[in-house]
Amino acid sequence: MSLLHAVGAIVQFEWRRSRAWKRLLAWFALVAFPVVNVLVLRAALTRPPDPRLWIFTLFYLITEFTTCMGMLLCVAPAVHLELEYRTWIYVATRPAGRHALLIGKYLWALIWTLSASWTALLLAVSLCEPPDRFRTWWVLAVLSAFSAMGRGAVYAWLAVAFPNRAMALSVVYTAVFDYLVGWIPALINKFTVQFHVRCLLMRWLDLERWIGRVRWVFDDRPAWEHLTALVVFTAVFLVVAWQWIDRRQFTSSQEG
Amino acid sequence: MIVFEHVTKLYGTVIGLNDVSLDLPPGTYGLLGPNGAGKTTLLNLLCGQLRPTLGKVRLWGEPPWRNRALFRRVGVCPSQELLHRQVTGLEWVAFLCRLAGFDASEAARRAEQALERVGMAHKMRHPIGSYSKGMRQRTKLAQALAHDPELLVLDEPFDGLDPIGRYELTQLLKQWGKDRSLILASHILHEVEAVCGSFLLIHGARLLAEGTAEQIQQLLAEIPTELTVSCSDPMRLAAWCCQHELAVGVRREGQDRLRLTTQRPAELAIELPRWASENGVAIYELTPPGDTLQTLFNSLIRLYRGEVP
Repeated sequence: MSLLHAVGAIVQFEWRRSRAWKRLLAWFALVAFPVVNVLVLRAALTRPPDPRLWIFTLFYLITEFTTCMGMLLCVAPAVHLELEYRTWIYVATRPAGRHALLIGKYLWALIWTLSASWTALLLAVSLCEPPDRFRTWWVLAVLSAFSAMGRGAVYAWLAVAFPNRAMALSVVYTAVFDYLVGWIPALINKFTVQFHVRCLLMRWLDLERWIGRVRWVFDDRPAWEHLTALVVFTAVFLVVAWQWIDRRQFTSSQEG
Repeated sequence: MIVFEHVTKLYGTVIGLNDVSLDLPPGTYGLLGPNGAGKTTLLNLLCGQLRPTLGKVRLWGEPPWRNRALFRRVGVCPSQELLHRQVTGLEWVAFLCRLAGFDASEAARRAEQALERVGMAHKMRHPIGSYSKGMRQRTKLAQALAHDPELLVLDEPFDGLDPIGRYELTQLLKQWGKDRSLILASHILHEVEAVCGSFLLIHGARLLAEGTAEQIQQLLAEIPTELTVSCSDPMRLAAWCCQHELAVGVRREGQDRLRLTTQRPAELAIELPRWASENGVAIYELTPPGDTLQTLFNSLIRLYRGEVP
């Protein structure tokens, strides 16, 4: 019960802090980036493209980029900021402080990021012509949620394990592992969030036959297997981060 | 209440605390030492934020490392500055109360009470960014008191307070110390003297001494004391002191000044005026050692370093 109170306190406190103009600006930038890109693309096209191409555009702009960026900004510096602002010790000496900080900041990052992703999706879908607007919106919205959960869990672990370098390592992880390795047609790409999210996109929006020539980058397995893989991936990294934050000793020099 | 058994803490190859043993019953303790002496390391070990590399730490019989049940019984006021500038003092203290396990309404009530207790009632609804250093110190203290702990751990709580603030905080801590325990770390001795009954003297990661001021005085009884005497004939005075074994060391400083190292300061203080009047030597100035903790501390460091004869 006290953990729930504490997690609630962290989420509420982050909500209070998110009303600062810098954070509001970051939220609006996350929303604006894909929307402006869609507008520019529309203006640049001389004739209407295949409507299914809009799905990929929205997928990479929002489900991938906006969601990754949002989680990266909120989760990766979660511990580092507490150390830099020297507030870690106040939180860590509370009974549920460390775990509440981890879970509370993770939950807040999901709320903050998904609110931006879903708003951007709503605006962007209404500005372009995908095959089925409503279906495209909800599929991409659900995929954004899974993408945010999975990547956020990895960022949470990096934030706890390497607080001072979490941001840089998270960028490297996303760019090198998740994006590059995610496209390698081998067993290793099954360990990336991007692979499973991409397969679900193909399955749920019936793009598999259309994309036939590059089938090697997708997977025929049923959707529930991809969903299970994403949930397990998220849970594993959160559990590791949970254990890590509990055992980690932060010295005064790190606090300074 | 607090037990350290041969506790050593290493940060890689840097030693934070070196073979410290303690057994402290409930009470008020001043942890004294210069900057970098190991005070914060000792407090972090006590608060369960660090795990000892060697040895055992016990708080009420239990190891504090990762012991959440103990966290509830301890209030910590760290030396770190408050940097949440946009939130109000009340919001911040209530937030930390909620992290201690209280629901929102109870946390707000306790936060308000604690802030009133430290004299922040009039400013608690203002953003922390608008507070003076002293107000931030009080707010930090309020968050340590708000969950009603049994032990208060304070790291440099007087830092940045004006004289009135220091006085008020001293009164508050004295009041607290009547029925609860506290451990107060500082490098400014008179602040600790005013609040604490017992002292822990730490230097170079080692515990030099512990006990009440009197116990430490007793410990120091064997350590020679230094007196400075300014007189009309320092050479005769030096000869007399050595002849009567009143001084174990004599050093001339300038034309009319002697620094005497003695193990019998009281006897010297009685004999010296008598001898001076009988021999027509004028004593211009006699500077005794201070009786403050600073003197004790300096002497202990000299003893520890082997600088005393």
